[in-house]
Amino acid sequence: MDALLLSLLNGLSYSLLLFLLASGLTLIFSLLGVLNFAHGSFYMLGAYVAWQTGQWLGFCGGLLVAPLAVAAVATLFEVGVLRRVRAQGHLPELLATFAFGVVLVEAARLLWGSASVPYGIPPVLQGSLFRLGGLEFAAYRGFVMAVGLAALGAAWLLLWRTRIGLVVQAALTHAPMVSALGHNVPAVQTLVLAAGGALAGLAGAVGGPLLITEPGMAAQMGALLFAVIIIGGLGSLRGALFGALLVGELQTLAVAVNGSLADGLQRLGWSAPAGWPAASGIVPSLLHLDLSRAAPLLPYVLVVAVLAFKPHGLTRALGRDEAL
Amino acid sequence: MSRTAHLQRAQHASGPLTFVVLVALPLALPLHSADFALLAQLASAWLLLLSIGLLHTRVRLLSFGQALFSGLAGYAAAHAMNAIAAHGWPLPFILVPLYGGLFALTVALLVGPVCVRHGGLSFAMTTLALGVLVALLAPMLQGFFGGEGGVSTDRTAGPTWLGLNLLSQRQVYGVSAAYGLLAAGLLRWLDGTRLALLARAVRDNPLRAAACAIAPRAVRLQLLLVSAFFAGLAGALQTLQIEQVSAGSLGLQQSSMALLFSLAAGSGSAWGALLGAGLMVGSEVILAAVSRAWMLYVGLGFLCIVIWAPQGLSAVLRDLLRNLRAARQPDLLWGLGALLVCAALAVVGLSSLIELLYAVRQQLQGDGALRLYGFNLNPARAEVWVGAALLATTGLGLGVPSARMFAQQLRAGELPQ
Amino acid sequence: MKALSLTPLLELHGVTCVLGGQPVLSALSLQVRRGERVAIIGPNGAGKSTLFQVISGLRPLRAGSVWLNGRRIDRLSPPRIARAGVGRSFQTPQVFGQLSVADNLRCALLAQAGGNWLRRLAGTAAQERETAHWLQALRLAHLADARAQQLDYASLRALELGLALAGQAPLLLLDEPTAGMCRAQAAQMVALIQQICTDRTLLLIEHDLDTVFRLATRVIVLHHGRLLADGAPQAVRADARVQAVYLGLER
Repeated sequence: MDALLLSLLNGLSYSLLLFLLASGLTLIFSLLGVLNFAHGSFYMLGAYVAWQTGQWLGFCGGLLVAPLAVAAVATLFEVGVLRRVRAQGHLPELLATFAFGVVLVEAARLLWGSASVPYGIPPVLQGSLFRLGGLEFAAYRGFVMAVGLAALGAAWLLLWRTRIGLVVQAALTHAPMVSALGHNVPAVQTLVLAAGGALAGLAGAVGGPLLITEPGMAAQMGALLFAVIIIGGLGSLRGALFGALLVGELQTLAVAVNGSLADGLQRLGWSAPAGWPAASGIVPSLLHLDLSRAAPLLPYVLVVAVLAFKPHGLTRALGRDEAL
Repeated sequence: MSRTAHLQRAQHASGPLTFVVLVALPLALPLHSADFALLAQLASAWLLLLSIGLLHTRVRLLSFGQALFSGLAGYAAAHAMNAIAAHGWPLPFILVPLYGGLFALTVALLVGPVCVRHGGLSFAMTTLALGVLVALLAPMLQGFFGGEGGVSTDRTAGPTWLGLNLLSQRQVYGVSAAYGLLAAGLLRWLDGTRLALLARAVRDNPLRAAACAIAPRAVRLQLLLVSAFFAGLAGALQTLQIEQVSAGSLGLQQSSMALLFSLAAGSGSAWGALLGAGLMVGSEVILAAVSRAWMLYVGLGFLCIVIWAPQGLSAVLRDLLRNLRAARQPDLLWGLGALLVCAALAVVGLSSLIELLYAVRQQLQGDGALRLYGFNLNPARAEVWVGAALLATTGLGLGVPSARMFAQQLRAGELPQ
Repeated sequence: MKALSLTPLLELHGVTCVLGGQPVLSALSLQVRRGERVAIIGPNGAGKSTLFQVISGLRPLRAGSVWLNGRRIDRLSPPRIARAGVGRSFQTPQVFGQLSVADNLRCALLAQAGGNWLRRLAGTAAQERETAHWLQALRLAHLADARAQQLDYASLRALELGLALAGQAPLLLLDEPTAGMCRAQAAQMVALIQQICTDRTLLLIEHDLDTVFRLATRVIVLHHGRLLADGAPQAVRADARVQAVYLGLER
C-alpha cells in the first residue's frame, strides 16, 4: 500500500513536469493553431542551457536563465520565421516548427556533443524528503513538484488576473475581434510562443537531472507530449492536465510493477494452455512482456485506444458536423 | 487527329517516357556496384516518398507513421526470404517485394479504419502513435521482430529465376526499378479512375460530398491501402538490398524524415517523389559521409524551403521551368543566376562556419586541421573564421535583395493561370 | 393524381433541436407521404433550414427521432443518410467548384453504384449514358467541360439541383431553389423541377409564394420552430394565423 502511494507521488511529480510542457503546447496550439513540433526541442534546450549556466552560476542560475533563453529563442523563431510562414497556412507552419526542432537538436549536438551531459541533481536537493513505509520519496521530486506548481500558479495568475492575460484568453478564441479592438494580436502570438517556450525551458531545467540530458530527449519528449495532449483533448488545458496525470501515473506505476500481463492473469487464476511457447508468437510475447519494460509504450497504446473511440480526446465530445 | 492534338498527345506522353528512359538508363551503363546500391536505395526511397505524397495530395492526409508499413513489410520480406531458403520452395525472391506490399496492405486494412475515421489531425496523430508504438515494441519482442538485433537474410539464397540470382547490385537495382515503374503505372491508372474523382470531390467540397452519399472515410481508406502497398514495396525492397531489417526501419526518425522530404519536395507526382528521394538519399548517404553536421544542414534547408517554397520544391521548379520555357523575359535567367551565386556564397560561408565549429569541438583530433571545399584550413587561425563569416554575410546580404528582385520578375512575367 | 402509398416516406417524431441554448425546433412532428410535394414556409428564423440540417444529419437532435421509410436515420452519419435516400440542394449552391460540370454529375451518380467498388472504380458505359442524360435534362450539355465555379448563377443552380437529383434519392430537400433569381429564371427553374421531379417526394423551402403555389401539393408553415399550419395550399393561404404571421400574405 505504501509502495503504491509512493509510486503515485512519484507519478505526480512526473505528471506535473508533463503538464508544464503540455500546457505550453496547448496554449500555442490554441492561439497559433499549429502543433509546435519544436516543443520537445525547447525542453531539451532548457536542460542544456540550465546545465551550461549551472557550470558558471550554479543550479539556481541555471533555473533562471534557461526559461529566459528558450523564450528568447522562441521569440526569434516566431518573429523571423513563423510570421512569414503563417500566411501560407497551417501545414507550412507545422513544417517550420518541425524543421526548427531538428535544427535545435542538431545545434545542441554541435555545441554539446551527442553523448549525454552530466546534468545531475545539486547536492542540496539530493536525498530523501520523507519515508513512506520503508521507501524514500526523493527530495528532488518534491522540488520538481514545487517548481511545477509555482510555475503553473504564476501562469494562472497571469492569465486570469492581468489585463494581458485576458487579452490572451480572448485572442485564443476570437483573434480577429481582439485585433479589431485595437490589441496587437501578432505581439500576443509572439508572447504566447515565448511563454510556452519559457515553460518548456523551465521543465527542461528541472527535468534534466531527473531524466537524462541528451539530444535524443527532444524527440522522445516531443512524441510523449503529443500523446498527452491527444489523450486529453487538443486545445484544452483541462485536457492537458488530465492527459498529463493519466500518462504520468500510468508510466510510473508500470515501471514499479514487477511482472507481465501473463503473471497478472495467472494470479487471477488463468493459466497458460499447454504448448504456448513463451518466446515466439506475437500474442504470447506480448503477454509475457515485462510491464516495467513496456512502460514507455503504454501512453501510445492509450492514444490509439482513445482515438479509436473519442477522436477529440477524453475531455471533448465530437461535434456532428466535425464527423465528416 | 489534328496536328495540335498529335502534339498534345506527344507532350502528354513525353513526361512518362522520359521517366521510363531515365529509370532504365543506368542498367545500360557500366556503373560500379556502389553506384547501383545507391540507385537501389533511391528507388525504395522514391516508393516511400510517393506513398506519402499520394496520400497527402489526393486526400489531404499526413502520415506520420509511414515507416510502420514499410518497416513491417521489411520484416515480413526477411522472414519470407528466410523461409523460402530454408524450405527450398520454388518461389523467386523477385516476388518478395510484392509480398511485402500485400503484407503492408493487410496491415493497413487492420489499422486503417481506426486511422481514417476522422480526417486531418486525427489521422496524423493516430499514425504517429501507432508508428511509435510498434517501433518501441519491436526490440522487445523476439519472434517476429527478432528482438534487439532485428532479422537478417540473404538475398542470394533463393532459387534463380530468369537468370537472376540477385547477387549483384545491378540486378537489385533492376528489380527495384521494375517495381518502381509498376508503381508509377499503377498510380497513373489510379488517377484516371472514379476513386480519384471521388477523392478530388471530397477535397473540394466535403459538405456536398456527404450530401452525395460519398463517404470520405471509404475514400480515405482506399487510398490508404494504395499508399500502404507502395510503402510495403519500398520496405521489402530495402530488405532485399541491405539484407537486414531492424527496429530502426520502423521508427519515428524514419517516418518523420520521409514525411519532411515528401512535403519539402512535393512528392505527389513521380517527378516530385524523385526530387525528394534524391534529396533524401543524397543527404542521408552522400552528405552524411562528407560532414558530421549533415542533419543540421537538412534542418536548415527545410526551414529555407518552408519559408520560400512552402508548396514544395517541385511546384516551384515546375513554375520556374514553365516561365523560362515561355521565355517571356530573358532577364529572368540573369536574375536566377545572380540568386544562385549569392545562395552559393551564403551556403559556403555558413557551412564553413558550422564545420569550423565542429572541428573546434573535435579538438581531440589533434592538430585540428580541417579539409573544407578542397582547402586545408586551421581552425585555430582567426582569418579562417573571418573569411567564412564574410562569405556568409556577403551571400546573405546580396542574396536577400536579389531574391526579392527575382520574385518580382517571376510575378511580372507569370503566365496567366 | 398519383397514388400515394400508405407508409409515410419521412416521419419526424417530436424533433427538438437546440442551437446555442435556444430551441430552434420544438417537438416538431410531421409525416410526408411518397409523392407529395411539400412546401415549407415561414418567417426567417422559423427553423426551416435547421429542419433540413436535422433530416440530412448535419445537426444533432436534442430529442425526438427521424424516420425514413420506416428506418430510423437520425443517428446515422450524413453520407449514410444520403445513401438511404435523401437528396439535398443547399441555399448557397454547394458544388465541386474545381471539377467540371460533367464530373460533378458523375460524382453524384456514383452513389448509385453503392457498395460495388469495382463499378465505382472503373466507370461503366451505363454511367456515361446517365451523365449525358442528366446534362441534357438540366440543359447543361453545352457546359459539360466547364469548371463548376465558372458557371453563371442560373446554370449553377441547375447543377445544384442536378446533384441533388442524380443520386436517385426518393426524398429531395430543396432549400430555396429559386433564391436570387428574377421572375423569368425562377419560372424556368420551376418548370425544370416539375419536369424532372415527377416521381420523387419533394420538400421545398421557399419564400416566393408563386413558386410555392405552382409546385406544392401541401404547405407547412413553421413559426419559432413549431408547426403553425399544415394543409393544402389554398387552405393554408386562407388561414388567419398564417396571415397574421406573414403580413404580406394579405391579398
